[in-house]
Amino acid sequence: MNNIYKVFKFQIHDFWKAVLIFYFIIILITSALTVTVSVNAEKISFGGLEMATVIFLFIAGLNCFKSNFKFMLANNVSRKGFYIGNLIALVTVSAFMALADAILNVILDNVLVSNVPYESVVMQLYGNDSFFAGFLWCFALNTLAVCFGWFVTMLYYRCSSIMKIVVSFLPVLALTLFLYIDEISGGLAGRAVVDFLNKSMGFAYNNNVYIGALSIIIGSVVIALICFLPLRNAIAKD
Amino acid sequence: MKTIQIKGVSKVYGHTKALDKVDITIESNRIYGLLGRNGAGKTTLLNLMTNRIFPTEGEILIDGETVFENDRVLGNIFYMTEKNLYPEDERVRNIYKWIKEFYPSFDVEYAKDLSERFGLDTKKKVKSLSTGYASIFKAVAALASNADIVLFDEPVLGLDANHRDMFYKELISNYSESPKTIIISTHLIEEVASVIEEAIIIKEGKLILKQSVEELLSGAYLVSGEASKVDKYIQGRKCIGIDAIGSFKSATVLEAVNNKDEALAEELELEFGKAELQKLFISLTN
Repeated sequence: MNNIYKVFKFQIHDFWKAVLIFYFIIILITSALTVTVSVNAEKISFGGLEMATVIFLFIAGLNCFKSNFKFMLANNVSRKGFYIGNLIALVTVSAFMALADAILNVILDNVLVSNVPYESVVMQLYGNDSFFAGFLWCFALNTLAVCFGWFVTMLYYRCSSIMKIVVSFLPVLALTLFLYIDEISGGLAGRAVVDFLNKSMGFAYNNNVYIGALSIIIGSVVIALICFLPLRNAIAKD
Repeated sequence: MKTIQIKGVSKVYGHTKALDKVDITIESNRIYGLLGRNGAGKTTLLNLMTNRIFPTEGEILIDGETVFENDRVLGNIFYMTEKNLYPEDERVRNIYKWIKEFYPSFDVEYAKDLSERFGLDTKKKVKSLSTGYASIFKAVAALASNADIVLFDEPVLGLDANHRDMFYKELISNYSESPKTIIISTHLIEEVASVIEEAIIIKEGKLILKQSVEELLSGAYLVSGEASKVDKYIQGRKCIGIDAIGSFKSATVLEAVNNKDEALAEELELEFGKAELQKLFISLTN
């Protein structure tokens, strides 16, 4: 338990500078866009800055493994302790950034640019401007992104050079196979996927943002659990 | 009491058996030298003892508890590896602070003092340290850890003679002030001979010897003098090493000295001396 907290603390220490720089850049971009959009309010609008957070967290997930894992091994922390501590840190950062984005959305939507058309991702997708719904949906997506990044980097870490190439081509192969199946099934596979996404993301149920958030959270939990597999027998590598 | 029990441990990498059914009991509060030729399995054994890698078979226990994924047991061990596992972009002094988080007994002030004595600039980032200073940094961290069990893998790699001497002196001083189990894996056998109390010798993944250095050295001796007389003396004896300079020769004989030997040496005007651990090691591992 003690080590879990220490891993968490180290991981947060590793993240905070990058998060601060990220928000500094976001505020700069937002300010620039606010001025631009204010001048041309009738022609353009902007929104969906939360997606930048999702991309940032995916990259952060990709970069938060190797060095930290080696440092934890140097301090004789078990892989289990590292996994739990790291996961708590990732979820915490996701929640913090979702909250920061939700606050930024409120500021952009109501305070700073009340005369400028700004819409958050949740507003654009679900037509829902609830603070809590926006926070929950972004938190779920942030967690999914950071866990997926973490999983990908661990998978590559464990793979040999040949396996890395195989793993890199797998998504392309899967997509090609899917397109082939879709073609021979007369578009049935494609429609099934769209139907699944419509339902799982809550679009089929009066654009229910909470169903969407719940589905993404389930996806995040699955990826988070799978993350332990490559970590279980991982050893220090150069 | 922190007794380490290595029970029937084997480690296989592909088709290579790095360790083969190794059984060792390491008693607490002693300084051990883990010796072996390149690829003998020394680092593998240390990695297994610290859960860095997993055994193919067997188990490693500390006071009866497994080291496998056991944070409580692992917290009593500090392992200075030859590889750098510390964040390259972090400053040395910050790493000391972080080690303190994981090893509450870590003495930051002692680490800073030692760093200063070794001339290690703690404001430097790990990536900017030379091979020697990287070893010093890791050795300082290990000495200041105050862990019950401290493992050193090639601790003096890249260190100059002065720094090596400082390290051995500090190691003994540290051990005298706060006794602990220390295991040093090194190829510089003569340098550690005066430091270690017990030698563990591994050959091709198998334990071939675990004996106190004193006992080991008492089973051999050095005889030296005029070359022709030394040759005469060593006839029919198990000689494990010969050094010759001009007409002078010295030979290491693998047996205990008896009265008959002493009489013969006196007759041939030869002198007896203490055998070198390195010579014994070469003989045992060849």
